[in-house]
Amino acid sequence: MAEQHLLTIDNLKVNFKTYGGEVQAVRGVSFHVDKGETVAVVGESGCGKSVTAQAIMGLIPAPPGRIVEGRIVFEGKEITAMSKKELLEIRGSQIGMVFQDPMTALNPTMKVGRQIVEGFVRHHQVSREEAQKRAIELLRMVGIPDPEKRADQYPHQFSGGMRQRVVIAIALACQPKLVIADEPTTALDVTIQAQILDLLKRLQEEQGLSVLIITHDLGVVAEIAHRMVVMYAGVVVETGSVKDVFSHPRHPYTWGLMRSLPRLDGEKQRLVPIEGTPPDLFHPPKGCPFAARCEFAMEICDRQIPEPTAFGGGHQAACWLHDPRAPRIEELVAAGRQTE
Amino acid sequence: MSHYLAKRFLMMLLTLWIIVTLTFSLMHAIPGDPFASDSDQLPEQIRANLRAKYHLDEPLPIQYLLYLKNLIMLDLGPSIKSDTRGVNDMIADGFGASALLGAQAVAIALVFGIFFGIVAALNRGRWLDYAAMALAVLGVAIPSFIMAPLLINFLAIKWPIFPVATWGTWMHTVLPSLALAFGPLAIITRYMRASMIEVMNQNYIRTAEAKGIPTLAIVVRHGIRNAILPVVTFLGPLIASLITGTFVVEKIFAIPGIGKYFVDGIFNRDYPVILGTTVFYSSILIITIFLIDLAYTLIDPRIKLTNKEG
Repeated sequence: MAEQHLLTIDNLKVNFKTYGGEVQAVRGVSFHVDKGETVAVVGESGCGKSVTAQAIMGLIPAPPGRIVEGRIVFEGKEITAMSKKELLEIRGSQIGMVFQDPMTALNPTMKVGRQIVEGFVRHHQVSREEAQKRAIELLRMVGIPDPEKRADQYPHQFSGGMRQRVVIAIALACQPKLVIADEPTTALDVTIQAQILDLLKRLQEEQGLSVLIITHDLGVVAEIAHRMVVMYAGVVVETGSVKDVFSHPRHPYTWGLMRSLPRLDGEKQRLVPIEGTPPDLFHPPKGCPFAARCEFAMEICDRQIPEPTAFGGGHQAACWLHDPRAPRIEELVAAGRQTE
Repeated sequence: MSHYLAKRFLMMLLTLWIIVTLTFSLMHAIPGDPFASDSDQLPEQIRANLRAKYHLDEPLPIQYLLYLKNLIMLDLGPSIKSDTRGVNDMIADGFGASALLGAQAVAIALVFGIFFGIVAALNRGRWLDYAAMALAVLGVAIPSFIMAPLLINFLAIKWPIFPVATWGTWMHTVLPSLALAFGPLAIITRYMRASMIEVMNQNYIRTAEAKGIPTLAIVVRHGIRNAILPVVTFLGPLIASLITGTFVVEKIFAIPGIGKYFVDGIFNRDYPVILGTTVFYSSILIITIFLIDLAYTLIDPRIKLTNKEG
């Protein structure tokens, strides 16, 4: 069953050794990406979303990092069990990666065209002319004007948005099945962000790509993703289609995220922050990691991690409130706690 | 570009002129003169004649102008102490040997320094790193006049692979080149290690990894070119000082280089030799620095010699 997905992450746990102890950055994450869909992983800084992305690429720096437990399966093959050599074959050719900061993601001393096709040349052994042709074709595909001239320029001759287009071209050079985009718009101006998202969306649709986008920006999720995975403190708290999660968020953390967003419609109101800070991942809590900040926290929340509850259509949330034994939310509100 | 080159050339001449002027003033501020040590033996009249011959009886400004006039015609003047040979001849005779040793030493230091630096950076915190760093500390700490006898003892006497000293075949150049190279090699290793560690942590190295490029190719294609600038900077003064000869190593190996003239000239108050060697060294340094600046622009496309294009 699970093997039908393009990418399956099953109970992934990643730790990092530091001088202060071992940080449990990812603590049992499971989700999947199907062919031709865009999945967004959402969460605040340090929730383990980028580490998850690195793990898929086999790019977790080891040491200090190590995958403690869990499997990552791509097209039926287990990435987590692969040798270094097998990983090199998959990286770039089957899975492409778009990085966060286009200002530093390109080598300043190598011509842009050559950087774009470096992976293509390695995986396909093509001639210089063919490589150059491919570079120009890719530059044109990501919407860079005058690609013949641009291919022979260096990154410092490109603007930030242009560079991010180049980074996307690099990720797509070998026509990968999956593209992982780690905060692809965070470092860009708002107008450029929209352009880059449109580009990713267009390429995803044209080429039937699967895209895994890592972001902390719910606006990006709404714009581009089909499904979303909400992470908090190294675990998945809620997952489902973007429509379901935005219209019926089921986890108190997701409620908090939604309430901290400004709305264009309806009355103007103060944005509500989520009080407190995420838990210390050197010593993660035994129970639900959000319990300390949750206004609906119950005794059980501190003691035991909740199992995901399914709501149909793939929508799941890991919260004790959805346990049949839990009091109804209406009762909690009536008892003086507030929500929306 | 040609505009820049013309400007740059004028600046180089200006620099050289300032160096000559400063050296000339400082040199005449040292007490004594070329004939001070002979004063007991020399009759007053001969002494005066000698001074007149080398224009030392003229006022300093006149001497200065005379020197500049000769310098413009590329004549560095006579050596007062060896009256048969001019400073030009001394440099012409000795520079070949010194430059050969210097060039070999620079090449050894560069190749091995970069190699050890990269190996250390890639194995950071492991024994290869510690070994390279230990070598680097030794290289900085052991002066060439200790290194040279050690090399002679082991590679010429205990295992007689190379000749002990003197000049002749290429085999004679190996030990002095090694002795000269050791210190700079250590410094280059340290520079290369530090900048390679920094470069390998850059995001564009992650990008290359994500393309599926093997580590060795990443180091060669993305690492070295970005990490090498500090080494290139160090190379300017290094080349100039090594190819113009070194007093100690040339003395130990009895090499007919120009290193000794720098020191002998000062002891003898041999004014034309002091000025001549200084001018020669400065010219080489200025030219080397110019070449290094050109090298920057080849290595890093973001660096331009001119503000404007062209």
